[in-house]
Amino acid sequence: MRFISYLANPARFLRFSKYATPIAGWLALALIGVGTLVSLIFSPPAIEHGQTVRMMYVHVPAAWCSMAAYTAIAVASLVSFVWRHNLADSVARSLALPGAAFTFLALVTGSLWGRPAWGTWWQWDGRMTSVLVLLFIYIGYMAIWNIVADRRQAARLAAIVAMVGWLNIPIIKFSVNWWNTLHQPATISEPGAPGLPFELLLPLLLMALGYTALLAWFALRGTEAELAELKSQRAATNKPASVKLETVTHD
Amino acid sequence: MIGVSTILKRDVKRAARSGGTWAYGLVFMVIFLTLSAIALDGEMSTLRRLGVPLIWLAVTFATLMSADRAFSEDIKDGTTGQLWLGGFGYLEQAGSGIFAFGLIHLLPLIITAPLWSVLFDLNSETVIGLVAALLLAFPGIAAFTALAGALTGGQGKGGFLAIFISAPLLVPILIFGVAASQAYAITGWAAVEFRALAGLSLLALAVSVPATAAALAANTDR
Repeated sequence: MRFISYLANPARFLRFSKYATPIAGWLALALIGVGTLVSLIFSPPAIEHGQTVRMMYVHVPAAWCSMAAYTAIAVASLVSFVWRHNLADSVARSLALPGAAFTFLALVTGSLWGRPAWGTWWQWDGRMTSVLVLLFIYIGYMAIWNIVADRRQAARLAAIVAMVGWLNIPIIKFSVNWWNTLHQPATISEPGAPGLPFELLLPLLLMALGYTALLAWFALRGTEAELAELKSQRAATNKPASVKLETVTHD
Repeated sequence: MIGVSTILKRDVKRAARSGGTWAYGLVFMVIFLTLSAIALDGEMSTLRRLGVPLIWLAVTFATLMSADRAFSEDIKDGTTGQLWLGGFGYLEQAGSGIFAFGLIHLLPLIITAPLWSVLFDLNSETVIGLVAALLLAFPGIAAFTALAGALTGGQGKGGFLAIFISAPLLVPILIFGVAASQAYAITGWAAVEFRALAGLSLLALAVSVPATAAALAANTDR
């Protein structure tokens, strides 16, 4: 908690982000680069899926990160709603577009993977439907930011949308247990779950960490950009008015 | 409590004097159902099968169309802020506003649903199940739609935005509502879908009342 309050000061945040942003960015690049190499070249094809298993290294981390980004938006919205930290709004806002992009990526790669694995591009099963709903919630959240002109008001209204929309995240997580779906139940995260062999798990984890670092980069970089924009706006408003006197001659 | 009934009376009176704008949703619903039946070529066997989902869709869309009427007038002319200054808090305003919205814009759709079911040749069990499910969903649909109305009420063109925001939230209610409507003919009142629908509906109400209050506060800059 103290950490959040510490970072709520823009000057301190900029001191922190001066180091954190490039670290997150280069980390994302390195992890995704190595992860791509490992998943395309070094990891073996799986027994049941053959070569198409490589789709997993994009699909699963993208789906994880779409939910992680939304949860981060909801938490940042809560922080902004309760403590009125303006920077939390910027963080939430900066995460919306990459989060929506990851959701879209998860849906598209899922569709491409579903064709060879299940013989269908799309099914209205619980998980696909709830992830599609997540994409719509992202769009509604971004639309609020776009339409409401006053930034402070937009932030408060968007925060309410983000927190109410979070109801969908547990539905996505537990959809595989509640309904009969094509997706398999939790494989990695729960104790006693079957797990994955190491050579499949390694590229998956590399990509997931890379995606997470990318999300962090987006959040930090977006907040920096918004701070810079606010600063330039304020500079324009605070500039002393200048009056130019000219002699006008009348004929 | 006096305040809540005053708000309700005022909203009903205002709707009655509005020259019929409260009925736009109803008209939309009838047009939607008619066009659906025409697009399906009036094939009775198909219509009988699709009647329940189509009426659910019509109710949902017609309510969404009215979303921007929920709180926008009060927010724009400053009534919301004045009521707050007069000691009528945002929570009470949210609760009474959601109820009034449901009463004026959603209840007419539900009451007339048996009439439109004639267009689809639905049998009486299906109609009973349909109306019961719609009544159970009443608090949920009204709450989520009015919440979207409160969120977008301060904006000039809030209508489409309200639909963007509330439509994804209504998905679970739509799923279980259609399931419950169809389950009555098979399992009667014991159908588990009815309980799931009632739970979802109450959850929606529980989330929406404080969220609507927060939206009203944000719109009046408190």
